[in-house]
Amino acid sequence: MAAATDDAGDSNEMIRVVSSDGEHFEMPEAAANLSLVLRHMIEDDCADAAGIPLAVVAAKPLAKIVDYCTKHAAKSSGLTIEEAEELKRFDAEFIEVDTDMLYDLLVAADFMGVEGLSKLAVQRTADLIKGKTPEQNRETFGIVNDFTPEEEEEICKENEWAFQITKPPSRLC
Amino acid sequence: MNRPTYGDAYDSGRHEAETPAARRHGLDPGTLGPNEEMVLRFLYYSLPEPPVSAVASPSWASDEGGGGVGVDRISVLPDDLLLNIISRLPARDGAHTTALSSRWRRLWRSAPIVLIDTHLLQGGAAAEGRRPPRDGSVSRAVTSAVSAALEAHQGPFPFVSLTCSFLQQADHDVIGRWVHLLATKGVDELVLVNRPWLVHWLFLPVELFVSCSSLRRLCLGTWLFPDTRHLPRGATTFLKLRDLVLGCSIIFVDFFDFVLAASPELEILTHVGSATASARLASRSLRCAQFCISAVDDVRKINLLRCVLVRIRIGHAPQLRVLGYLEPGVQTLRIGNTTIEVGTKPSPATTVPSVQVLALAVPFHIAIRVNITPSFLRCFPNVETLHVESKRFLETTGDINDNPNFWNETGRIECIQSHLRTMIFHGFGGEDCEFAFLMFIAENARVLETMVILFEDGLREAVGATALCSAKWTSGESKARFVASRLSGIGIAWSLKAAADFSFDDPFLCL
Repeated sequence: MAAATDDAGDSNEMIRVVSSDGEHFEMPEAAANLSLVLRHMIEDDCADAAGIPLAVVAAKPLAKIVDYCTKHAAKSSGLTIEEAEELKRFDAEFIEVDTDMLYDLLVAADFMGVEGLSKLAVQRTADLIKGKTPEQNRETFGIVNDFTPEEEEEICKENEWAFQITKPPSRLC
Repeated sequence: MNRPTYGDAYDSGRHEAETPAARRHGLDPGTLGPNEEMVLRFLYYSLPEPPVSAVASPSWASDEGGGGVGVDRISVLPDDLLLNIISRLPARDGAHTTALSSRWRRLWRSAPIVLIDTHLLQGGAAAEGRRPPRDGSVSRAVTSAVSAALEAHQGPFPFVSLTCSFLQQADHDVIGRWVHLLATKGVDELVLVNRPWLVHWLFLPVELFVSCSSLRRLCLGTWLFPDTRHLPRGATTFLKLRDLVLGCSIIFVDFFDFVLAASPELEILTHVGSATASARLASRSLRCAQFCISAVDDVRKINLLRCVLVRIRIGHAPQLRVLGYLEPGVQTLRIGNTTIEVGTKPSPATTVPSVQVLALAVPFHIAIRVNITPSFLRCFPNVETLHVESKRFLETTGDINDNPNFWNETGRIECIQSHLRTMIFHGFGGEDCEFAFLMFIAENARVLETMVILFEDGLREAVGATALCSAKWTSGESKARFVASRLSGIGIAWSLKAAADFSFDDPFLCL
């Protein structure tokens, strides 16, 4: 535990970031380093008191990302089994978000190059898609079915194996 | 009193090794004999964990509010994010995304996908990985779905696991096509296990061994291997292959020559329950070879060997550090050109100085087996850690070892006198012949730091142990610690995965 905290506090400097809608946030340098983009900016001496502007990340997801990075930076190396479990629990709770926030996190984590968070959000999205019929997934994600009935039939035929073994969904196949 | 760590490692490992492995193969209990059952259980336990699970996530905040969101924001995500999401789906769920909308139509085909045939089973069986117990409509449907999925997707496949099909001779074309598609589309990790047991005499297609060049890990089970003697030599097909598991198969002589020559990066070779006349291990890259429940001889030129073999020949192995379990008197040991016998005098030509961790299995009550044990020990003069499994219940013919002074009369054993630091005695039964060996260690091992004696739980009373504790320990005070273990007395326990994990120093403690 002590070692992990030391790692995070190697440099006590706080890094400022500014969201696309003008809100300011602060996080320890070790946390900011979890973002590839921020790390490069820091290395290039672009981190100043005015803060690093993040043109495509709004305040709401940025607040979450700062949380995520701060938590993970504090526990980056030499984890005990208990600490690893705690971090896993943190991740599981962290990613219990609504669809809007999930998309925001997907895009922002990808843009900022926060690998762990990117994986977490992608896995969460996949877990939500799994085990559902196309119709159920369309409903959940608000996807509009723009196929003609003929096209639908063709798609079913193309991957008959996938639609056959499963229970037939209510509408398609 | 605190339990010693050795005992803890032993017991917790046992628990983990038995619970999830039980009946993982899922075959009808009636189809297998007890030996086949044991070997298959072992094989399925050693298969790699799949990177994608079929377990869905049922909870979602917005589902509770009636489900459904207004605006489609997922479809406007960039292609690489959507491909990334799709590649984390089981194959069937992935293919379903093609039917969502025109935006999704073409994505699945080009996403790197994980194909696991248990995911193609119905409902709960998929999530739990419950394989069909017998050949029938379920397994046939899975086989056809696998064929169709491999045809439909353009590859590459990061992970493919096909362990549900009951392929017979008549299905030669099916396995041939699978291998062809995998070889041309690209596969990183491949698990290919036929069912139920070696009854179908179906040959693995040769193409697997000449064209599947993208493989990093390969697990093959219950197959008849092709005769590789007719294949072109000198081709390095498996340029990236690091980990090879062969199980419950008929493997021809020369196969190991062929596959080791074709795999310049191979580090871990595991061989479970297969009949093989000879395995000559000549490789510069191999770091760990495990032969379990197998009949093999002739092993040379590797760095680390963990095995159960019949005849062993160690040719040139200057970095062989760990070796076991050797069974003196059952296995013939040859070092260079010398066969180790009772009374073989140690010399540079008959010793392997690199071995530091040695494991022996010895029935201490059988004279012929005990008599040759000192000669085996003398071959490894620098052993620091010695594991001895006492095989008390072995049925064997031969004279009973009734010489209580055998060990005192045997003469100097270099590793015990000068290097042995840790001695772990497995399966102690409190018998005089076992005590005699332990007394010998106590009175001769000058640098001994620890002696752990694992005994069967029920024998607590019989063990007593006072005689050993009052022995004249040449290393100072008594180093003996007795630890009850549920495992003792029923044979050698082993975890292939833990033993091939190079972060552990001593595989005989990593169960």
